[in-house]
Amino acid sequence: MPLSVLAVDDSRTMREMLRLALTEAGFDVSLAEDGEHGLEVLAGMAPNVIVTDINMPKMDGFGFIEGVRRSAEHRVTPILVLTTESAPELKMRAKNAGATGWIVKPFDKDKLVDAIKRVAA
Amino acid sequence: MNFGVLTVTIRTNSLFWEGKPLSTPSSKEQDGRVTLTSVLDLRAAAPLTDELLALRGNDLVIDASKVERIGAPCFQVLLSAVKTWAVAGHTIAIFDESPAFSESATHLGVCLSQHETNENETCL
Amino acid sequence: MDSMAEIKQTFFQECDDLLGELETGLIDMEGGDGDCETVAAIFRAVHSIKGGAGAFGLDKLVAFAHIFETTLDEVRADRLEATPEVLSVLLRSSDVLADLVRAAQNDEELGDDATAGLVEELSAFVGDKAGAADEAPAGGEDISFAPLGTAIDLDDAFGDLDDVEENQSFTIKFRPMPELYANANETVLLFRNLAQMGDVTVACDESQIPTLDEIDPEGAYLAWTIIVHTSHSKDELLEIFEFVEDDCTLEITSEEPSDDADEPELADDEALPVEEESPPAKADRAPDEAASGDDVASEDNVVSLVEKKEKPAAKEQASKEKDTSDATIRVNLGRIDRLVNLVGELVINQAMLTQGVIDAGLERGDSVEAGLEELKQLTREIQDSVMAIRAQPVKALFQRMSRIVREAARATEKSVHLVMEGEMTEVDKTVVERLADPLTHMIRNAVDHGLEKAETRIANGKPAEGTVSLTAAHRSGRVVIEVSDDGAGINRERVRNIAIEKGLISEEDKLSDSDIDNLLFMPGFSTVEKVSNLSGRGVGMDVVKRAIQAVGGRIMISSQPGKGSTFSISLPLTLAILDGMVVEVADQTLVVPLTAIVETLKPTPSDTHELGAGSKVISIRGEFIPVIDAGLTMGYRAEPADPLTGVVLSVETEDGARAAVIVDTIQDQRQVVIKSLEENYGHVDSVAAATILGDGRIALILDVDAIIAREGEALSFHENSLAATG
Repeated sequence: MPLSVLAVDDSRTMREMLRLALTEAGFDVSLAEDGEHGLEVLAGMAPNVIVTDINMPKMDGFGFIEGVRRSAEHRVTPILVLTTESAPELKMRAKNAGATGWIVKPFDKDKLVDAIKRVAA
Repeated sequence: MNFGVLTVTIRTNSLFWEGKPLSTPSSKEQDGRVTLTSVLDLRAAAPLTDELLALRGNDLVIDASKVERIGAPCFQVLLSAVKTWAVAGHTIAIFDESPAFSESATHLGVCLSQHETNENETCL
Repeated sequence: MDSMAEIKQTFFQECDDLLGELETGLIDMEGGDGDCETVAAIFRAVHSIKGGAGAFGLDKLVAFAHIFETTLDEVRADRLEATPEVLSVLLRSSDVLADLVRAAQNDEELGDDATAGLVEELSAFVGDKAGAADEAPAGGEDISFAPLGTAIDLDDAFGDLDDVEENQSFTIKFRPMPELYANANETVLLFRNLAQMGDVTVACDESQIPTLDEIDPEGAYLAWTIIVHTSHSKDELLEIFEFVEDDCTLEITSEEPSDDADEPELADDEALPVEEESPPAKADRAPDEAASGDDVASEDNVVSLVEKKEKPAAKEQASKEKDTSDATIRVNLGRIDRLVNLVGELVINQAMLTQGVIDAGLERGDSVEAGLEELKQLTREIQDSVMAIRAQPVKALFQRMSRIVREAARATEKSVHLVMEGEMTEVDKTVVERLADPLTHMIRNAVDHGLEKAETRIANGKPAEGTVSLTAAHRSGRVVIEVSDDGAGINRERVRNIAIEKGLISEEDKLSDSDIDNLLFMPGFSTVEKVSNLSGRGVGMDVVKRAIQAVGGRIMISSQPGKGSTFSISLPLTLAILDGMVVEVADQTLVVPLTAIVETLKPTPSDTHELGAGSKVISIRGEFIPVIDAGLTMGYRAEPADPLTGVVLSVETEDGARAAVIVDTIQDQRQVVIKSLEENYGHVDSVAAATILGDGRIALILDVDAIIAREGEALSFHENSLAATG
């Protein structure tokens, strides 16, 4: 069974890049456009790992992570934050919201895939 | 999968041998029996605790054959059960460990299966 | 095209959308309509462009987006007030950002001077923050990661004895906190990764485990001491704990490479708590994997299917349409065109079926008739829906115009306010694309020629700032786009004089105001004596008119002295369906595009004049127009028809040449589905396309331009040249 990964990013370009990188790595990839959409998608699937952007419209990454951690079903799903913001306070906010780890954009495919494998139970 | 050469040591300060040796055969008739579920992640820790708490007062055997995934929190619960049973003077034994169970136990350096053999042991 | 090149194309498409959002947001802010969500949205737009550009190694774009984003972040954080001065710089920055995107798309390099000035202005707003922002975290060093787990030396994995000497031993003391588990990290996984680095000896401290009745099942009671014998560095070991460093206590100490691993007691001063380690950061860029994106098509071959969700009424603002809640999917244009074609077939088929039912003479009230009526209704709805898919709001087009206005205003040193209305009005995608050039020209004209200089305006009691408005609206099945200015209006005296000077009209000609206004559309007319660098460029309004007509549109002008001028473009909603006049010629049915027809009339004997050699002209209100006999031209009959028994259609080509087409009768005026003949027959002279009528007959659609051109000399017929001969 390939690992399934849900990637949440408001940028179409980033979503396509993520789809390509993760599919090439042999993962099952699902995509969502923002936090709200991500929670909707999660209602119908249980990914092994979630990768999310922070800066998104409607519901940002922090809200999304908190939402996932509140859900009985997904609260133990690893969440990697994918963001250009490497500022320590943003990382801290993501951690406090419940993020498992982070990857700083522009991401390097191998690093992303590796991080997913590292946290996937 | 390569893990290199693993030498796993159980420290001598382990507490679960205090009291009677667990190998003492139980005289009780109604031994409890638990089959661990397949996924023992963080979410499984609380239900497992409740399940084990309900079986206190009897000798217990735990079937680990179905385990596909187990994390540190559930090991903590199992270790706590071992301590609890030992304090109460009952026996507890985990048998038929699945490969996933053994592998995780090895990584964490905890050994639950060979309690009946000796004290202050080193298990591989 | 490889996947990265495709994604790069997606990136540029997305950039277009983002640049649009950026500009709209900035204009909203300029108009005082911006709230914090607006600021957040424009920040996100620049941020996303930067992110994508970084992934493709578009360094210039990244660099500019970065300083731009930093400035926007200051505005977002209320540290920088969005004064008109700031907004003006931000708007110009959005223009430059668009230029940089365009340059990157075309694989061009934009000179540094294009950005240098703005970079300076932006930097002035943010002080020295730009350099220290997120891309270069504290310290700013470029600490790069070695990929984990991907390059494990098999010797290490097996702990080959040969390597032991090079190996180093580390003692790791690790005590998780409950947060580690709550955030879905797992000690088992950390240790599994650690075990891949070398020989591992794990000792678990279980002393803190409480009994079952006291345990917090999600607490953290276990702690570990691990001795790792590895060829990897301490940093690499630390990296494994990167995600959990704040959720545990961690000490990693190196030891003498002795095998004395059983007593891992450590002196305190040797311990290096992880907190002292600077968090690994990364500032290097992904390699430019798509540097050879030579085939990145500039043409957007995809349209968005826009599905509007209901917006909460409270958020609805009368004049603003925020489309943030639009969910869209991208569909290849080819698929949609195929659907459009199929629906065309369906429309024809349904019309034929109806005719067949009538011919079969079924009784009234028959269930077939009722079913057919329903089918008709459904077909019409499907047709409308399919056409709506190709439709796009003119918003993106309008947004481009706001930049044109800014540039024109700067070049002419006029102060101009652009008002836009009806941006969400939808027009066929192709029409939208072909409108860009004519609209640009009209907007430049409005600023350059329409509006007066500020001094003149003030002298005439007008506000110094001129207003150009750009509106779109649906009007009786067509889309009307208007460009108006509140300038001086057309100087008819001057226009008339220029027309006389250029020999377009004669001194004696009596022209109405609107006739004079329409002189602007004549080829070779240009009102500016000295060609300004803005609207001159050798292009006149005649080119604009031709471009509009090419998409089946019409353009009209109206002007009031002292009040301003308005140019209205009226466009069909789609190019797949044509408003046509169905006419009969020698028992053949033809369709004449309605856009070409100026009027229809029944000529009297005194109107027609023979010119010899079989050519005729007709006089319509003093203007002599060459006669084209449709029956002869199309080869339907050998003998010329008598103009007096037929009907004359006065037609006009895209470049203003006129002709009178004689047909036998006019049958109907209706919308017809255009079926191209070129695919199967190649180009057929005088025929633009075909359509299928309800009775199943095929009718050709007349190519008015072509038949007039074929008449050769007819093109040169114009009032004044004719007046010279007669």
